[in-house]
Amino acid sequence: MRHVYTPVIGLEIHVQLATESKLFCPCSTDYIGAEPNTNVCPVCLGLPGALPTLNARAVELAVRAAMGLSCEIHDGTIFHRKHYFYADLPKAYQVSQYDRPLADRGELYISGDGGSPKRIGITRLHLEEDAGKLVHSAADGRLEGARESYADFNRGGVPLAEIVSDPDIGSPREAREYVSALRRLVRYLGVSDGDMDRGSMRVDANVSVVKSNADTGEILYRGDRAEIKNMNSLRSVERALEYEIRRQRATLESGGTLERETRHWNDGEGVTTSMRSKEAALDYRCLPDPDLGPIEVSREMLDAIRSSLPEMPWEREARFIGDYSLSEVDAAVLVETPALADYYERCVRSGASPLRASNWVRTEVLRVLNERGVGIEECPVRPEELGLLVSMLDEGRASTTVAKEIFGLMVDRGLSLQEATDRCGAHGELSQEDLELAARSVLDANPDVLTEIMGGRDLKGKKRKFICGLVMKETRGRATPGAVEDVIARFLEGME
Amino acid sequence: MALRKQGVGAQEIALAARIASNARIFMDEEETIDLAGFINEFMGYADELAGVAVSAGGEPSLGSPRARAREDAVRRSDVRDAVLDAAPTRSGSFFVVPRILDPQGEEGSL
Amino acid sequence: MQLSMTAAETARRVSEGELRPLETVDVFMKTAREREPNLHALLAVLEERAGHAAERLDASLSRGEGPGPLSGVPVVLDDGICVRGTPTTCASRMLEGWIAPYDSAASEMLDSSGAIICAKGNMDEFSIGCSTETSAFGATANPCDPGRVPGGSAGGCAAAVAAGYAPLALACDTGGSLLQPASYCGVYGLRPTYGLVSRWGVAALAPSMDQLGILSRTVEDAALALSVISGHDPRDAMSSPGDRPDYMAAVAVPDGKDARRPLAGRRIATVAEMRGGSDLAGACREALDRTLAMLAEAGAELVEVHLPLSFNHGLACYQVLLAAEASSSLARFDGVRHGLSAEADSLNSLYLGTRGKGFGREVKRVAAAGTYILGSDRYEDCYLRASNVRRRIVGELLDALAGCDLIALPTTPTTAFRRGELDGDYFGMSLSLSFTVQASLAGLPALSFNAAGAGELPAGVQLIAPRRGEAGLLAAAAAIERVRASRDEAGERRSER
Repeated sequence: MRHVYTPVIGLEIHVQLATESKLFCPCSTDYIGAEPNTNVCPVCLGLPGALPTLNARAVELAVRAAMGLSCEIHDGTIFHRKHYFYADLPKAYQVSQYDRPLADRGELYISGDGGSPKRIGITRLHLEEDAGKLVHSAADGRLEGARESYADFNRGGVPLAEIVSDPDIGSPREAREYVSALRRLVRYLGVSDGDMDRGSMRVDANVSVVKSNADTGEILYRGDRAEIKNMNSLRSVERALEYEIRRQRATLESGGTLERETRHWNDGEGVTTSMRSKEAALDYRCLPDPDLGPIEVSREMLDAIRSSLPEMPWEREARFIGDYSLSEVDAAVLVETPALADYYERCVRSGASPLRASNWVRTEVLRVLNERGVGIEECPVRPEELGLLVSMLDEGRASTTVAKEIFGLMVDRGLSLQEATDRCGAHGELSQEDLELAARSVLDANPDVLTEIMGGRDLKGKKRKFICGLVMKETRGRATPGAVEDVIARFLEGME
Repeated sequence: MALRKQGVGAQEIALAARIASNARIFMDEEETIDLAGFINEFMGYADELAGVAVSAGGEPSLGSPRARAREDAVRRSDVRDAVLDAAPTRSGSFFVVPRILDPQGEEGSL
Repeated sequence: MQLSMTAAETARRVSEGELRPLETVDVFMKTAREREPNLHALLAVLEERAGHAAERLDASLSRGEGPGPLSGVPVVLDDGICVRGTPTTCASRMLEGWIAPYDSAASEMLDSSGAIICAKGNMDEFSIGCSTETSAFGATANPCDPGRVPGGSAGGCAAAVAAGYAPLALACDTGGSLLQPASYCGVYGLRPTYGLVSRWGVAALAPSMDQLGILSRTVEDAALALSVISGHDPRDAMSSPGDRPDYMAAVAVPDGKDARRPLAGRRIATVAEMRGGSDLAGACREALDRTLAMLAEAGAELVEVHLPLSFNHGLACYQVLLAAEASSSLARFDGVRHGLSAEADSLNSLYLGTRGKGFGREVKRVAAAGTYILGSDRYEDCYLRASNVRRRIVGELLDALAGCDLIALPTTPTTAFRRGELDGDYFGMSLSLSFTVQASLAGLPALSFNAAGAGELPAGVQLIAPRRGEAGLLAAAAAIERVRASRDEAGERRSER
């Protein structure tokens, strides 16, 4: 009997919401690089007598994310206290949501392994507060071997949206696509930076393997799932899942069983290692939080937020493919961020042909941004100007070489389109002097050819044509062929 | 009111020890036995409520008003220095905690 | 200044310049020094802070600035209320020496009203207890009979007011922790509607039931204090907005024809479940009967309501919810950021050691019990069930109050018990809350006053009103106070003949 091993993957992603202040107190959320324990107050330090107050914007951003994920959004859900003792948790409980989350039953489409769009269900989205940060005293900064640890509560209380997917993800590649798509969405909606490096987006995975009969499809064994933590980049997510699936499969193939556990991804060594199984130990003893009333999500609020939503990234992508005849790949690049997509569209609206504009934005513009390490917001060339430049190319009023030169001047010297074009001389009629200068310099540079022509050895006029061609090149196509022939003829006559 | 007033057996004492551990409260043997008796009596109250017919389900809320949400504005607190000064163990701007991984005990949650 | 000067009188004299703030503070300090060795009502005397406050008030009055409604009035706050820069221990070793780094809303409001916070009152440790005997720093005696407890948890504050240290004290009421001591010490205890007074800066016990209340020797003083400390606070999400009535007007003497029957048209209900209950001590039954007679004399119509669920199962319901919420409120004491911190070589032993040493016996028991019932295997049949019963109790009370203006009943089943009598008997002691848990469960306002005969051990009677019905409570209590005063006068005149 042949067996087939199918991975079953669900992702739990914590997204830090882009608010100014924390979820339950007015302390700043700007903790990166801040001196430890400076953005703290009685509330987020859990001092006796301190009370939480809910941040309206956090609710708004969570609702925006929920709308982007086509979730059902519920009015009147409550907060629960999740109790556990740990050094980064000042109240010894985390305020979160338990059985009824703010939103549930949503979906996000990704590009599936088969090449077509695949729907990933969203189980739930809820609000909760972040914990503080611990720095460990071990030499490698890891928990193992640390004799003491240092607690910083700046991050404690920062608002998070926890987004849990259905176990619909079928491969490490799809997991990466999902994270990528979610990141793009939260950026589009202004809900979060979605930056895995900076910790504003954190991914945990639940992965199990199902063993079935390859011929009949009958399921023979469902392994218990492993929770994988500590994947800090898109690449890690993919690698960790690849490793884990291999590991689980190997266990099953050798006749072993798999039990519920939590595993830690070690990026350096490329393996997951088991943390002691915590499932039995952790009973969060959830209690509805008596200090906070139910979260209000009124009809008016939903309407207001819905009407302020930008075009969804996939809607924009579809529109680019449809309206501008762009390929899927190209469209995907252009809609990566709303700012980039805006830039492209403004370019097109200034008269550029969509395809050529797409090439220019994806190659020239992105290269410049990359070189300078800046975002599209800091692009030195305004999209309207790029649009005009591209339309010059469209209309044959400049060659590609010239256009790139103009672009180069705009980027390097900060010149406007007009200034750069003038400087390049590709603009308007060539003056007679410039034409004669060009003709003279070409003739001077080609004394042998000149001698041939003067010696009457250019019966078919090829050499004359050659000289004219050089002049055309020299003047970057700004002179008409006729004018060039006239000038050359006159010079040659003058030399006889 | 039906209060259980029997003496406590080994199982109840073991339960009490587990409870104290979950609550992270150290109790010696005497205190643990005392707790076992207390829990017994306490559960008498819970049992009493079992006899009270209640309508099914529903959220345990009092229909309290919706959480009045606050505007997203930053306000600095001035307690920081006092709090750090009062910290039992402190290193610069950090609170210090002893070794988190305990060979015998439970690991912290990460 | 006489010991028995009320807050209202003190404020009037200070604002008119007849009395200087430093004098009022001085009297407080003298009284405290004299009586403390026997009573031990206080945990901290804030001599320096009070002195500065008095000086500032003095300077401000001399500048002609408007006096606040409590100008120069000495006040005691229980030690679970944060006063910035002062020790706030909740009567526990866990917070021994902890200096609150921020002010509670209460201390802010008192400061701006001109009141002078003179001391922190003794209490049961973390408000868990009914006698102030679980305080880690020694018990308090009842000024009316030093061999008896003052009640708890707010026993220190109740004793301080009863003994005349100060005309006012503020303390947290959870289930009756302010009302019961008021009853035992013979002073007024007012528990406001849940959400009327901000809890910001009050160490939490059971957040869904905690409410900051007032202890005083007159109804007028209670009304005065309530006008100062009530009101919406955006820092307390459960604090409710809304207009407040003029509480002082509610206690003012009505004029003309109304004066003799100020409660005409008011329906006051007795609780059927009180009838024939053997749990009720004779003195308390008499106190109730005496009060009902005075209410009738003041013009009220007496009716009866049935509250079987509230009175037969209120205590059990309260116990379960209290333990659950208290265990949550107490979880944060872990030796990391403040307070006691045990020597430990691992995080877990830090927690175990700190909480083992820092908490007293009752706190440990209740915290453990609460932890147990919140466990996933017990949550449904304990906490969830109690929450459902609570909702029904609320319904029962609100239905009853739809048919009357106030409910009158004894505050406690007995008078103050003897010190040491119920030591360690958590459940036995909690029976003293049998009639006060209901108002806490429903978030209703209640006012307790002494209705014992002259020279007798205090026995409180309480009135319960609908939500935000404090004006009604105060008016009824004021009417009774006047009836009683006129009876006492008549009695004195008779005995003089």
